[in-house]
Amino acid sequence: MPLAELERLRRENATLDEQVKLLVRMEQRFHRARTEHERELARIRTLGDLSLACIGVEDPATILECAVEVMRATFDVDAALAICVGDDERRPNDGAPWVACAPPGAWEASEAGVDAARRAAERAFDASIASPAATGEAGRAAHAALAAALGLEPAALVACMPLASPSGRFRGALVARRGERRAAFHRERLDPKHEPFLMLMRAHLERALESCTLTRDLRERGRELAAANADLAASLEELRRAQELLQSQKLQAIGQLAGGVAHDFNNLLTVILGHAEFARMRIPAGSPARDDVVQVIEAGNRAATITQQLLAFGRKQRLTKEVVDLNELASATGRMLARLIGERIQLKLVFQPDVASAYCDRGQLEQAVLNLVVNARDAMPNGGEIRIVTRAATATDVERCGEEFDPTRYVVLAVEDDGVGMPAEVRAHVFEPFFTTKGLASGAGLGLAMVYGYVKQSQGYVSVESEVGRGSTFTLVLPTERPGEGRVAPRSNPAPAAVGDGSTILVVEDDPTLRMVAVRAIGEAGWTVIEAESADAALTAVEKHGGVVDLLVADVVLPRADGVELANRLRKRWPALPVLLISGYPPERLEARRALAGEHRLLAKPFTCDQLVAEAQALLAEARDAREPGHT
Amino acid sequence: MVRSGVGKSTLVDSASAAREAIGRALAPLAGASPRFVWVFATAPHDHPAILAALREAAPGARLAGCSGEGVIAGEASEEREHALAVLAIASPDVFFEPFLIDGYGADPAAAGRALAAQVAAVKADRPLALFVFPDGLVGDCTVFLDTLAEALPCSIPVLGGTAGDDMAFVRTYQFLDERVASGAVAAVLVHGAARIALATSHGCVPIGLERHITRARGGWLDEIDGRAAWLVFKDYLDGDVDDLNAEGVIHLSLADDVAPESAAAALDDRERYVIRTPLGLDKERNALFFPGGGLATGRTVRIVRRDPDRIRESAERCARRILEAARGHAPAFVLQFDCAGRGQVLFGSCAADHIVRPLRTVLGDSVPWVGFHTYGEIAPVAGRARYQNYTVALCALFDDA
Ligand SMILES: Nc1ncnc2c1ncn2[C@@H]1O[C@H](COP(=O)(O)OP(=O)(O)OP(=O)(O)O)[C@@H](O)[C@H]1O
Ligand SMILES: [Mg+2]
Repeated sequence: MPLAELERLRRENATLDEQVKLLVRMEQRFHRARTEHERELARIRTLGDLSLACIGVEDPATILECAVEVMRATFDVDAALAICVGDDERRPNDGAPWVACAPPGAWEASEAGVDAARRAAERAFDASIASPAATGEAGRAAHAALAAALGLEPAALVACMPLASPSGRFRGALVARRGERRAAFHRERLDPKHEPFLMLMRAHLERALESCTLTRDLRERGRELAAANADLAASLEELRRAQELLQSQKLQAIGQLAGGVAHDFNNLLTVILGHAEFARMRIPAGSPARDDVVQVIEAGNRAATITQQLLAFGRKQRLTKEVVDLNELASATGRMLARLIGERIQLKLVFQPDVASAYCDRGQLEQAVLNLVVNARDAMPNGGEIRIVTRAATATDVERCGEEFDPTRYVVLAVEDDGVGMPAEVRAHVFEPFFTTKGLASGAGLGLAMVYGYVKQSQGYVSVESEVGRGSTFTLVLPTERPGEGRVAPRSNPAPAAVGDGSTILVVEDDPTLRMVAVRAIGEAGWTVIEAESADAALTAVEKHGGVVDLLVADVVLPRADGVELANRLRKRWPALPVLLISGYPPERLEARRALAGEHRLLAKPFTCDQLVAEAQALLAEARDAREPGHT
Repeated sequence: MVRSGVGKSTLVDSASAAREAIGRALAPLAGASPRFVWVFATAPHDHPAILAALREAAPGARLAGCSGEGVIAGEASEEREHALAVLAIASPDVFFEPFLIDGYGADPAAAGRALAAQVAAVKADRPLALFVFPDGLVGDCTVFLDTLAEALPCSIPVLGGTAGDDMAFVRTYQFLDERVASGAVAAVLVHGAARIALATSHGCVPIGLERHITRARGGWLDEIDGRAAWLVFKDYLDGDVDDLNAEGVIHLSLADDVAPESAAAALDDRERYVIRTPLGLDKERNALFFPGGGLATGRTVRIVRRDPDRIRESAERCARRILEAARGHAPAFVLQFDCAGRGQVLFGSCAADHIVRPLRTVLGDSVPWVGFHTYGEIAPVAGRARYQNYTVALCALFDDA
């Protein structure tokens, strides 16, 4: 090979070698840039993670744990320590600061403990120094002093950053160290170029700690609010209950009053009607006076209906409880009512087919339904639909009635309409007697009072729901048939005794006017009458009469021994003696007595003379049948 | 049948770390008592405390190992201040004979001869491999390995790595049972009814032309091709670099051409070159210090650059060679001795993804796996055990049963 060629190749080789060197250097530069970039990214990511991890955290310790992990993951750090001392409002439970260390226990294992780190950081805070931060001679001196306070060689102290509270007080610190013997390579060495990152991290940490105080405060405030709310709800509920109680007490008081008045009224009415009856019988047909008397009797009868309603409201109605098939009752009443409500109003029956039977007074229940349907009709002057609903009682009913009972033992009969509805002021008073919005001419304000009193007396519950313009629903919650109480056997209707068959009837009544009416009615019917104003007087009178009595007619309420007692005494002598008790109301005493005395027929005041005579006749016939079976 | 289990701990307290690691390692043994426990721990640990705690947890087992710059356990590579990895082995017909030879630092040749004598004394029927863990800061490892090879009664593969510390280059430790030494060699002869497969890889790329060492003495390399060695390196370094800690330096090494001249052309880089990394710089003389010996005047060398992609690739290839040797059997366990410079320094916090995970993907994700980051890897290249840097030495043991 010629020398020139050799020289050329050598030169070429040298050029190539230079190019290779250049490339290798560029590769290093590229690698460095990439590493730097990756690290930067990783740092930003960690910071983001730290912020995310701290959202909604209530416990500073959790935030500190995140912080030390970030330190260790990001830098060439062997142990990282984060401390947070309490602020003015909040302190760790035992007075010691919150501390987190990564790896766990590494700091305690080092020469200077956590406490020394805390003190050093606090001093650094007071002197406004942090490391790494300050540059130059002063910075190095500060760093060395910090390291010394922490019991570390200057080279081993990676970072010591005091944390401030928003009010500018010492809040804690983030400290990191590197194994003192570890000199080279490894993770990124923390150096002054990382200062901005560390400052950012410090700011994040301070905010996170602050927000964790806020979070805690917020949660606590929230809990307090919730508690206050619960208290409020409880007192509201209490108020509501108190109001309900007052309302029912009020109704009861009015009821007692009304009942008392009605009772006296009743007696008066009985007298009025009785005398009017006698008068009518005496006045020959065709006489103008007779019409007047008939007017009196009719007005008296209307007054009697009112007193009946009042008595019902006062819960002083005599109830004959029996098993009532609500579907059957409602459809029967419905048929009867169809005419009453007119053509513009539809009556719809919404029945639960197998609904349980109620145990209550059938006649009174019919009356109650009638009252409700009439009200519904009145609420729909332009027509609409009335629904009579039967169904089992539910927990909602319990809630609506505002009382406690076991819904499984009750059935519901409800009357719904889509009429004018009621505002709350009206709704609050509907059950009060004489409360009416219909004007004196059309409404007495007694319909719902009767319903209320009746249902209450039947151990049931009533509720009303109504919205102006939308309609109203009245719900009667009635007790179902109680096991063991069984059905009341339907009474057979014996043939009435002939009027005036020569029987002797003992009439005992303390009210002289009433006694007179009864005595006259019985006497005019053709029976022999013995009269007395008390039980003792009655016994004497019977003796005087020779001891023959076929029927006792007695007021339940008498001075001293009452009607039931008297009946019992007489029954001792004549066990088969039929008894007709006259009663203004059936007080508990009577119920109790009746249990001892057996079934006595009761005649409610006010009664007409015809009613009295009819009852007497029936009882005498029954007694006769019992004596001479097969007579009919 | 060989049963083995690996355990690691990063607890700071040494005794607790040992208890945690051995607890995990013993679990897969299903009650069998371990015969032998490999122990690799970082230098800052309290090693006597570790060995005492291990002894207590595994009373019948021999213990051997050394300190490393980091430890490898399972799929993790832990290069932190406190890390510990153990591999416990219970096997009726594979035997582990550990030794500890003092005085290696002062006289590596004598240490080589002493170890050979002790190995010979075992009279093993089926010697499989001799693992050696010399101090990584003192002693001429090349002299030690050469003497050892000559003195051994038969030819068996010698491999392992030199003990490291935490890049402080102050002191490394070697373990035997409850003894802790420095400047010594820990060694383990494995023999019995099993097979061993090993492979190495470095992943470096030679750049520039062949060069010759023109002046070297006692590990110090003064001149390459008549020029100061550090200046030759600096030609390839970006910026004004004035110490070995500079980031660029980790990309540059020296390849020692160990192939016989006749065969050189036929060999690939892996078979032909042993990578050597400078660990010291004399700025007065611009001379570089290479631990491990062997770089004598007259040797042919090349400058190499480290290529992270190739590192992974060639490591995978090396794992596949082991798998081929095993004809598809899963290893009973794997030992990995990887350079301290190939961990965090090169790959950052995800080093394990580059140097451990790819190998386990090839050899089996559940294979018990342990090792450490060395200051120098030892494995056969071109027919002889050699000291090298920037390399992985991988060894798998297969059950004969
Ligand atoms: N279904 C309803 N819709 C709207 N308001 C009603 C309804 N039922 C009752 N009310 C209101 O309640 C008041 C009281 O009703 P209650 O039945 O007690 O008396 P009344 O209907 O006015 O008179 P009475 O029924 O005695 O003839 C009524 O005047 C009316 O204002
Ligand atoms: Mg009405």
